[in-house]
Amino acid sequence: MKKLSVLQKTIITLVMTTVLLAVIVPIMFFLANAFSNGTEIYEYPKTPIISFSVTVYVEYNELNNEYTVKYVNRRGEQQNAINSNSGLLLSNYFEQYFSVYKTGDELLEDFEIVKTEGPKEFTYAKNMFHNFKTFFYITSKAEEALVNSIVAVLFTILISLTLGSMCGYAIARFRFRGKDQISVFLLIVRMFPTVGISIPLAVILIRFNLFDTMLGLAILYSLPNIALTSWITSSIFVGINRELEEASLVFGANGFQTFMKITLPMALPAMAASSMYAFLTAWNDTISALILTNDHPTLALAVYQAIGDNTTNLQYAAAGSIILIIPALIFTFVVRKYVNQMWGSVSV
Amino acid sequence: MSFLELVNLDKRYTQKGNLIVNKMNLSIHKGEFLVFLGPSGCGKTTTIRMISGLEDISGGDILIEGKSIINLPPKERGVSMIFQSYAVWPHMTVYENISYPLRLQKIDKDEMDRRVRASAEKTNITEYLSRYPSQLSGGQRQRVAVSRAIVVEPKIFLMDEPLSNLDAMLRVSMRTELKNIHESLGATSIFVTHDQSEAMSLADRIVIMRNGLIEQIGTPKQVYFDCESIFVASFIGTPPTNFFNLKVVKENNRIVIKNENIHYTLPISEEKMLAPYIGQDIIMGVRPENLEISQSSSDETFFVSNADFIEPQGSHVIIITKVGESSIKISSPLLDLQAKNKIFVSVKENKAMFFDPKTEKRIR
Repeated sequence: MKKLSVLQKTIITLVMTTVLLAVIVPIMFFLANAFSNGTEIYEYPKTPIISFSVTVYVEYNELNNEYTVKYVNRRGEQQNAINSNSGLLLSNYFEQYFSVYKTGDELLEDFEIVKTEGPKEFTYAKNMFHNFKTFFYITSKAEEALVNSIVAVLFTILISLTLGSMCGYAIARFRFRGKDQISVFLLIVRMFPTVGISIPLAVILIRFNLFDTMLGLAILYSLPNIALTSWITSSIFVGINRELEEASLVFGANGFQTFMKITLPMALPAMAASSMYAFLTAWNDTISALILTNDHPTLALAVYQAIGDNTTNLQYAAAGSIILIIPALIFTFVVRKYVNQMWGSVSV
Repeated sequence: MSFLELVNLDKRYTQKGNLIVNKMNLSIHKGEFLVFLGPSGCGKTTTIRMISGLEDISGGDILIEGKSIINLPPKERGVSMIFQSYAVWPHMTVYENISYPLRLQKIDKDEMDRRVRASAEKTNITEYLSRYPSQLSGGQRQRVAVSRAIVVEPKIFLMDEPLSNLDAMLRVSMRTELKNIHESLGATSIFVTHDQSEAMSLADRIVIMRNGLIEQIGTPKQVYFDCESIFVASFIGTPPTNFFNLKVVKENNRIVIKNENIHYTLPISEEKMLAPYIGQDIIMGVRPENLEISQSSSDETFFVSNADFIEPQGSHVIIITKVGESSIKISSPLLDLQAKNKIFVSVKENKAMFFDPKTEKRIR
């Protein structure tokens, strides 16, 4: 490695830091939002750090015989929250606005001390799953949407990998008329915005009775991914020495066995990369799902609708987004292992 | 009875394309080691690919033990093949590679294990069975390929330039091993190569091919000393055969072959053969080692020249000289010969080969 001068080092450090900040800061804000309680979400300016507890300042108001609860934010400022002596009201308020799960009796018991010793601050642990629970509660179809998303993804991977890899194999191995045109055409398919295809496709899907089904959605998602898969796989298939397949034929396999046992395993990295793209296309899309579904949303759409329905509860949509991210993360990390696993080519 | 028979075998890749293999007729005996030798593009690889079933045939027939196999898929032909690139599957361990054909035949586990180990033992790769091919050297991969070929106990081994990717040292030792394995198994083998020393050292019979046609079939000795055509004579041997364009004339009741620089009196035993060619042109071929050098003229002197260059080869020297326009190479045991000396060259008795200039075939 070449040694860098001070100036070069400085510039590189600055660039890297900028890139890192550009990635990390939004993620931190996003996570902080997703775990915010109903009060924190309205704070301004926001702190991009997840809080795990809530501090309240409690006074006893002898005149009305009630507790005055004030929310203490992370800068120590107090905001009026609730005046009440009812355990039920307090408990509900704490759950809804502070994400703190305490029964009325427990709260009243804690606050009893304020009557004798004067105003006091209390710190309670937040229930970190509150937003997630609420997301599923307010988004009535969230569980179904999760299942729908998984189904749509599986269909998409299945369709685009099966057709795409076969197409890629044909492009790589055989000479036929119009081969060049086909491979260019595949790229053109990728240029179309899926929204543009969604609307005419909706009409076709209605005719085929596939509107509002995951198969119909998967067909749409597969269109660009078949093209992509055949591009990725054909380049890998070209690199696989033909003699490897011929050896398999001579040593007792038929064409299909050869493809399954020799060609496909060797093309596994390409398949893994393609399936990753297919997964992400299908998993993250909202706009096509919005057009092509009616009663059966995908999870991404459900999250979108959670924002759309109720702009005041942004933290629940953020929590939904986290639910949306987790499977994508898991899938990507599992598949990444295979993408990097290239079999050393057999050469001298 | 012949074991494998090719009958009028034709191959063209496109419908009206050239014949890559042209009306090939060949019969191979059981236990024979046959080598296809020829320059690249002569159709030798195509031929064994047709035998293996990897290539369709355009005409003719292939018979194994009297039965036509041309409509069978490769796996039902009972052949196994060793490829130029080894074709060892990189995503399988050595053991899996060797056992692959047996697994497809659904042979039971113990039997399979026994056969895999036996064949691995024959090629000395037992210690690498659990490795992946990428962890092996070229020679070891080649052994895996050989091992996989013998584990199926085929009727015929096909080897498509199996040694050409190995380095020179390994190539020589590996070919001895291949011959050993061939003999210990009593197998029938067809070996394709463009390396004549490989062909010479391995073959029981050599098939020399050119442009899809068989030029000569014969033992290594035959194809070297008794060439059927100008092509064989020039293709086999380093340095290759020397050719002389001469005229046949009758002088003093003997047939003499000569031009302005060269004079050769035909032995009486060969006179009958060349009698029809009197007054015609002819091509005479003499192997470099069949030209003898002496320091003085005699009746047998073929031509007189100067030794232009001398290339010492250890056991012998190659003398490069010129007669008329053509450059001639002579292999001689006279190690202390000096360059630029005058030499008198004669031909060893009955060692000259004569070819018809039109057909390029040997005159017999």
